[in-house]
Amino acid sequence: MTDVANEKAFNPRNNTFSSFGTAMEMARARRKQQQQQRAQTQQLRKQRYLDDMYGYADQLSRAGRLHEALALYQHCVEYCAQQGIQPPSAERLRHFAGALLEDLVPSMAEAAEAAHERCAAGSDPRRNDPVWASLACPSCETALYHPVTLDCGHTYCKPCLRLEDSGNEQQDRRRRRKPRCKLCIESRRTTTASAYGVVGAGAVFDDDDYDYVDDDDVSSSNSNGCNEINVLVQRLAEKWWPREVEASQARHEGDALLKKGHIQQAFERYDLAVQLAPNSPVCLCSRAHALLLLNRPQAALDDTDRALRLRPDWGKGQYERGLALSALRRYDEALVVLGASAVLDKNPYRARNEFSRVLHRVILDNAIERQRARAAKHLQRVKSVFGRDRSLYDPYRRSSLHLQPHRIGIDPLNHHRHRHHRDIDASLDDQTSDCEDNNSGGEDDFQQQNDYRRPLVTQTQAKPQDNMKLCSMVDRLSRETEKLKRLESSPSEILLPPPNGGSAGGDLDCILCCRLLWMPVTTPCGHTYCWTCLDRCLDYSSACPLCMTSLADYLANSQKSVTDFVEKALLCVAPQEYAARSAAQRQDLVQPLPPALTQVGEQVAVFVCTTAFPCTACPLFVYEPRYRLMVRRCLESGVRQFGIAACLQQRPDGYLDLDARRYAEFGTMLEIKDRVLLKDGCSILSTVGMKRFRVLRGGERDGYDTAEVEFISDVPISQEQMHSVTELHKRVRAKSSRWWATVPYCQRSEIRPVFGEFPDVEADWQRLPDGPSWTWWLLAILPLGPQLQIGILATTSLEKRLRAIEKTIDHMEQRWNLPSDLEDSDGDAAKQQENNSQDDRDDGSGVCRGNHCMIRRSRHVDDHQR
Amino acid sequence: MAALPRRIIKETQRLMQEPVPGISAVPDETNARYFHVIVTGPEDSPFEGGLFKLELFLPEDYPMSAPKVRFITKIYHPNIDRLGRICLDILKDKWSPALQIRTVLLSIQALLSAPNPDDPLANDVAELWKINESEAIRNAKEWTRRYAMDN
Repeated sequence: MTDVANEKAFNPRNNTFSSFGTAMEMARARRKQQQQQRAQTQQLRKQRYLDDMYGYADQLSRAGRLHEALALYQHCVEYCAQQGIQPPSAERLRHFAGALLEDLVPSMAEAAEAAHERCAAGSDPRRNDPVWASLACPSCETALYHPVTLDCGHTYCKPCLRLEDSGNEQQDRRRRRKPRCKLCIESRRTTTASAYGVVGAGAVFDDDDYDYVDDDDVSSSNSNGCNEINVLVQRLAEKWWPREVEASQARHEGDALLKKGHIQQAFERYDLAVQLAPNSPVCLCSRAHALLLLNRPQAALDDTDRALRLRPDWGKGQYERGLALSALRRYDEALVVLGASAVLDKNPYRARNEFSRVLHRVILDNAIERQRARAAKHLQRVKSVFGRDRSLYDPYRRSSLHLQPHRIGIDPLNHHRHRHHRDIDASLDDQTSDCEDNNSGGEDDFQQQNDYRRPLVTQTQAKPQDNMKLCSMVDRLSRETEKLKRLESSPSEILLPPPNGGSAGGDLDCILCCRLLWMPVTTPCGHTYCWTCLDRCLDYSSACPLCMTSLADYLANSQKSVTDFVEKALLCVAPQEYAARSAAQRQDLVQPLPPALTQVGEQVAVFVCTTAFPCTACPLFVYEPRYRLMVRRCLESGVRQFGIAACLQQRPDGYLDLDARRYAEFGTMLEIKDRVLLKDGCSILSTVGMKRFRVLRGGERDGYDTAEVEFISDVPISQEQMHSVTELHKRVRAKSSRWWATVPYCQRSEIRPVFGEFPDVEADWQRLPDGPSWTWWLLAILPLGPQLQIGILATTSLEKRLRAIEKTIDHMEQRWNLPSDLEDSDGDAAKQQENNSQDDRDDGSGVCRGNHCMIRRSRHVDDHQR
Repeated sequence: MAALPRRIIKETQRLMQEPVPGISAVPDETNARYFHVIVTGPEDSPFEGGLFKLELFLPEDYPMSAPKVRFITKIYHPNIDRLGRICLDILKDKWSPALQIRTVLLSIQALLSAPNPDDPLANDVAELWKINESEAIRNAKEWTRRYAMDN
């Protein structure tokens, strides 16, 4: 196109005025266009250059080479100023700010180690630790306002659970489903960190956001979301710290107002809170925040100063102070304060945005300052050495000294600006060695990296003092914060109950047992009971005793936790009483009956149900409230044994016939082998029979039977009888085995899962207190009436027991033989046996009845399992 | 028999120290779980002026189970039968371990003030109460005079 225009314009044959004029215009337009294009390309190149520089700087900051990165950022800013480009936003410093803060904040592993050291130093750290003893909200660290106890047992102010509408419906719903416990998350995080050794702080947090919780394992609440207010905690807090609670309320109301944008009203609430609790750093800090929003940074700064005097090691306070300083344009101070806040919070992400903004301002200011200074210097030099060195004309020359384009393959500006290029090449000589010193990466201590600033030899020319100020500031930051790492965090307010503040008034008594609360548990509906009292209530009904709200879901989760606040309060207010209560509770568990003076035998709890036999399995389905309690006590006390005896008669519905014997005189101890707790509170027990007992005296406890018993065992076989008993044993054993072999497969396969295989004869069966176990196994599956079973259980003679078995088997065989015609005997086995099996199949008498009878219980169990 | 739970001791103490107006409950000398109760007929009710004897027994698993309460004095009331058994939800399925002897007796007193013939135990009484309330009230007053004012 240009060529055509030129041709047109300068071809002598077309040398007419009009055509020449047109050609001139075209050429001019063309030139303008070219200039525009060139300007655009130039702009684009500059932009690309900046992007590359920033990219490199980001890489450097990720690698932990912070000083270099800082120099590079600074260069970029200055370059922009020089080129008249809009300087990049603070957002571009995010990576650098993040890296710098991460470097400052000790990693989780370090923190855990420090905490461990502290623990090792003190004898009982938890007891001495004021954080542990304080009864404030773990989130806002002030008196609890509308306390809500989560299922994990920790209590927070309701607003602190961040359940208020945030405008985002989806988020709200998610939050409503899962209020999160800060303490549980933190303790888990610490354990994880110490368990895995070195964990980078960043790995544990989600980037930037505070939502660093896994969705699945947070303390859940009931289905409608948040738990109700804990009435006991509310009452105690209002009684013990009335002003603090009021201040907390005012502050939370202020928070809500602020969220809605009513800054002035929020400020008034905060102001009230400060008046009510003048020594609360939290209230001061909140007021400072509102003041800042009201554009009164100096007042805000005063408040934060006051707050930090009260609590110097407080990250949030430092953060607010940083904001105030930044608003007052005291950026250098703000930077240090924000860094400190990150260190104290042990979280490099919360302050990152603000930190990068301030950093950006610092760099800009620094650039401007330097520009001025250099302009003045330059003027002087120009006066003295004008003309000697062209490069000195460039006031920004120094800024390129730290570039190392070759290392990352950038050829800056593509020979566009020769001066720059030359300078860069020259500067490489200065800087390469620095780089080698510093490429050790992020794990290096800051101190080490500082070595890079040591004066370089052989360089006589003016050293780049340019970013000295910035570097020294970074160093100052790390120095200042290093001190803070050693600080132990202390709570904002130590709230403790007043001495003898509670127990006297019965405030801490359980309404169910009227004793001091023991292992207090709070239901989702906000009512607190002793752990065991609530368990007992839930045996009977799934409703909360006080408000009748259904606790079925809560029961199904079976994740009760002791309410931290109430337990601490008990330990503070009535430590001796609480200890006494614990002792009494243990006594309760172990002792089925209070010790009586006349006691001769053992005290056992009795499950009135059926006859069980020693050495034999007995699966049980426990659904009655009283037996749920009994089984729970058995398990919690560690005894794991209870007696079982057959039920003799149904108890009439009167309450005055307490003396009537309801169960058999003889029973068996059962040991709990396994327990499956069902969601409705029922349980399936796998038990096995132990010793036999005789009831001496009956009793009752909380609805279930107890008994004073003597244990019984077989009379030792005398020498004279030994021979005959051995013979009898041999015979009956053989008979029994033969009979068992005739039992149809289908029945055997039903018996086996419940009672196991036919036991072998023990080598020392003559000396066992209950004789050979196979006799009991057989008795359990033989069809015997309840009275007969009790009789056999009661006998202490093995001979009698063996005779009873023999008689039963004979009796069964006889009975089956009577109707049988012995018609089909097609096997090698004896006729009797075949007939037995035949009959078993035919009419299901004898063993069949017996088996079904025994297995029904297990089937019953199966049904429930399903 | 097991030692008396603290809950029962506390409740008994409180009943003695701060008795409910119009109600007296005294534990039996031999059985601390058995109470002799006297409820005065509420004002503005057909039972006004009467002193009604009741017996109250705390079962072994109290407070998990409701106390067993029975009128000993004969009473003409649609929710109380000839044997003195009381039809009151909190003594049956609506029982809660947070309720006490005191609250139970107050509920019984309230039942005297507000008979509920729609949930009857004594069918004949309830029937009359629904058909001819004034006659039923007359009967109730008569019974009160005859059986509850003798002493």
